[in-house]
Amino acid sequence: MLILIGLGMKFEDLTLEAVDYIKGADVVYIDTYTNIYEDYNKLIDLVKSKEYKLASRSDLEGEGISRIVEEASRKNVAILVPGDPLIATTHEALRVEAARKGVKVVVVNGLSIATLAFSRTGLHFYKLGRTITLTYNKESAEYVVNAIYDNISRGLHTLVLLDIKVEESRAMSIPEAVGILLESDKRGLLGERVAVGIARLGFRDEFIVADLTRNLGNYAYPPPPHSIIIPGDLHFMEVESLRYNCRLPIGVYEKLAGRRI
Amino acid sequence: MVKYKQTSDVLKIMKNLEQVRNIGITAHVDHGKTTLSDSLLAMAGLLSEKIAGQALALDYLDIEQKRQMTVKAANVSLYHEYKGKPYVINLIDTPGHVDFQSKTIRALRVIDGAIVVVDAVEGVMTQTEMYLRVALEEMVRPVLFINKIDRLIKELKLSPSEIQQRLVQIIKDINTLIAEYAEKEFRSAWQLDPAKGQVIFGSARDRWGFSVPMAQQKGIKFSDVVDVYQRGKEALPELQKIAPLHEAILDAVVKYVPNPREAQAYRIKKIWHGDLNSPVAKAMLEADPNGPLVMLVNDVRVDPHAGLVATGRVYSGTVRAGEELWLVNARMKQRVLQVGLYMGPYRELADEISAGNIAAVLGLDKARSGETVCSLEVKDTMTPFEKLRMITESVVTVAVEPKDPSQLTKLIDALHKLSIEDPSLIVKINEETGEFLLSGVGTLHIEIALTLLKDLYGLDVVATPPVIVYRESIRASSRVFEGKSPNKHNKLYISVAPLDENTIRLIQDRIVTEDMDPRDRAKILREQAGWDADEARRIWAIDDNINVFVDMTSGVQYLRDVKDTILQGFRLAMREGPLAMEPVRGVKVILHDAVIHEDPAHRGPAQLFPAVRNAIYAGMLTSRPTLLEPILKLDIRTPMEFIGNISTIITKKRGRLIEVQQLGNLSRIIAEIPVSESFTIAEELRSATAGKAIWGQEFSRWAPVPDSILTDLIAKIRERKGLKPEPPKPEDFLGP
Repeated sequence: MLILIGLGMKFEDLTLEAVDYIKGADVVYIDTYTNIYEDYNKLIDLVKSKEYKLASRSDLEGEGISRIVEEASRKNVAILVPGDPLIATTHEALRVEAARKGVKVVVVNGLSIATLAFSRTGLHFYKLGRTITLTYNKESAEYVVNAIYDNISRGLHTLVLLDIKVEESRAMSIPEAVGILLESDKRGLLGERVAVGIARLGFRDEFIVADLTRNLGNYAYPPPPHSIIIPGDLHFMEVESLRYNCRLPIGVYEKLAGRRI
Repeated sequence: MVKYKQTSDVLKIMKNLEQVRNIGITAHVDHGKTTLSDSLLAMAGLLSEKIAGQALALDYLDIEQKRQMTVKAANVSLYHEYKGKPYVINLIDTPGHVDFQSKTIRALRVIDGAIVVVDAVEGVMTQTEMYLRVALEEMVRPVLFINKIDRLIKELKLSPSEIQQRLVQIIKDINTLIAEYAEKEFRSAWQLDPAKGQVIFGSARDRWGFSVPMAQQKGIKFSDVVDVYQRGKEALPELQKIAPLHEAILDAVVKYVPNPREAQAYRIKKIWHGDLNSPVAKAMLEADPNGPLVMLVNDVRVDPHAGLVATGRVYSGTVRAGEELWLVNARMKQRVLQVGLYMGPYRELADEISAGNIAAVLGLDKARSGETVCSLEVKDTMTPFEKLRMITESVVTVAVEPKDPSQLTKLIDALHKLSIEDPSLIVKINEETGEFLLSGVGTLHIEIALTLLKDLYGLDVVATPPVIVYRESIRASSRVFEGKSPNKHNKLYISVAPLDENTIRLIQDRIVTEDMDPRDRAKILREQAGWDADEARRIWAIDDNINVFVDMTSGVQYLRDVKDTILQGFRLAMREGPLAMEPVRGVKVILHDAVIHEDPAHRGPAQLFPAVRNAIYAGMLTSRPTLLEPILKLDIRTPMEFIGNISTIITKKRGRLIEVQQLGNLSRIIAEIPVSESFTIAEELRSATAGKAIWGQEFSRWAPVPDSILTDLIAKIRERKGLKPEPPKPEDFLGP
């Protein structure tokens, strides 16, 4: 059996179901490369009595896929993934390959930034447009800016995930991302729009702030993981949420509120 | 003797381009290039009064004995008076051995005339021909110096009339080459006429020389020369006095080598391929000191005190200290810290150096040999000088380490400096073993580099025996393979095919390049290499080892967004092929279709590189893959009776004779052998011919290794690299 388990953001996010499956697994693979997770030590405490491995990309992708599926045909193999195990799609190839080989698959979901970001900020999930990752690859900046404008033109919010390269020990910060986005913004409208900086969402030291995009780089954020939401049209309740949940500066708030009322 | 001048006087002469000449010396090995430069420097060198003050104490002879000076200086400037007028003659260093060709060709770009040195006994040799040919192609005007006349007298004991016969033959040989290789407009105009003083006869070592007009004027006859040598050493000064070598040579240079302005008027169109109607072109054609600055850097050296010194020719405008300039190939601006001119072998500070002259510039530390430097105002429109065509390739590698492990940092630093000064030396680190790998164009090239490490940096190094660099290629076309990314979210459909000889030649000769206009490129490939019109238009990349990437997809979503990533993956895969991780050569990679994930996080390099590589490798492994080995061309002159012995050696070394010619009582053999069989060829040829054969060698081509040794060779290379001996199978690169 192949068990895909989402860890959420911190150890306390583990569901009871997740803990049961982990306890029942013969082999545990802990994904250490797709995201930043800080409670590996507590996880290891939980699994140290059994066979476990801190897995890198080559364990869970490429040739690793058939190896894992083969193992899961004989044993209970649990894959522990920060966040939700499948929302970011990376491990979908495992699930499909297992199903193809007739190996039973169980998915235990975990908290994901996809829902948390809206729950925490108060922005309306109903207006979520295309989600996109801003990577260090220089080709991606222009592509991301286009996707943001595309969403804005339809009044939709853009959740911009910022690149995490655990293997290279680097992750993009909000100030870095703001710099890249504004530099690639040929139409030049993003700087004056409101955006929300989301640092360590769901972590103990989570920090969220809303301001004009051009000012968003000026805050002192805790280290990554970081994300940004660039809202499209704002409902008047969303403006209030930005002010009271996300510290939107009063001047910007009054302008937005004034325009809406 | 050496002239002591104020720097300001020399700068004044340099402003008047009619009084400037830029020249080089080319010669076959041991024909006397270095001796001639040293003699010229000793007899007509230029020293500033400041340096002279210090130098006097040492006595100039002592400086002359520090021959290293002339060897190490990028440029040596000479002073000459002709008909009462002063001239500054810049002698640009052109390294002598065939292994340094790329550097030599680069130097040819900045000179307008060349003294071709030919040994009177040996006559025109491979490298004489090779250099003369390239010089003529670059529109450099030759003047001939027939050296070592004394050998004809002392060793061969020829009579004056036999001497003359021999000299006439050499001049004829050179003129034949000029007729063959010079541009149409110069084929007859540049023919060398001894009666006009375009040929100098003499001895660089004994420092005498004369041309026919000079001999007539001073009443010198060949019989006098014979007489002097028969009388012995004491008689030499007489000859040196009546026929000073520098006068004979520099008179000819002043008279027949065009001044920089005349030369630029016809050479720019050959060495620069921008728009000839643009203002920049006009300024270069006229060598206009007030035009936008354009400078071609032909030499970069690391001075232990000053840092990186870039030497080059200013074609237009004036280079000044403190100005910001644009490096076209490096794509960045840098500030000039100091500008200098050469006084003899020394650099002296100047405020500015204007068009037509050779400048030494400090501050452009990102410049490499071949860089085009220009004013910021033309940076967006400046076409760089054409990329230099390399005749040779780096094919031999050694691993080096310092004898004293504590000198490792010093070694790294020294290797870095060497590769800056000689870009055909390539330094790489083997990530697995931590070894430093040094690659060059031949064993001799590597030996010289190791000597430099010792002489210049005091480093004793241990080097492994030289290792040949092979190429991987294919001999058939593959079907389309699917390359999947590790996350299985991206798929590329790729096939490979061998490039044909015509295409390879067009790319090698840089007639077809990656950065040229795609429509022009498509037209050439269609007309000269029979490419399909559609494919020819869709070329995305051409890498340094002559592999081509063609995009035959249509309407693939997000492909534009990952084009660079795919091409990087292609270039990486081509650097280390599937057989033995040697560079790939002569492969056409065709992308037929692709499915690309919509989010950038899932289509980054970690995903796309393997997808590209796997499909290419699977394709190559099913297309009769093979290794190509470097082949040397040997040009051997030998007395006839040794042809049989030589032929036996060549055949034993997997080589073949291409041509055997009769040249009087000598034979000329042109033959090919693989580089891998060439390490002991020198000793074997010597012993088989009682030391009477002389030869030149050059890189000729890449050829497939015989199938009979292919498997063993692959295993050997793989084991050396710490890989398992069997190459991978196509299935290893295909997903489930």
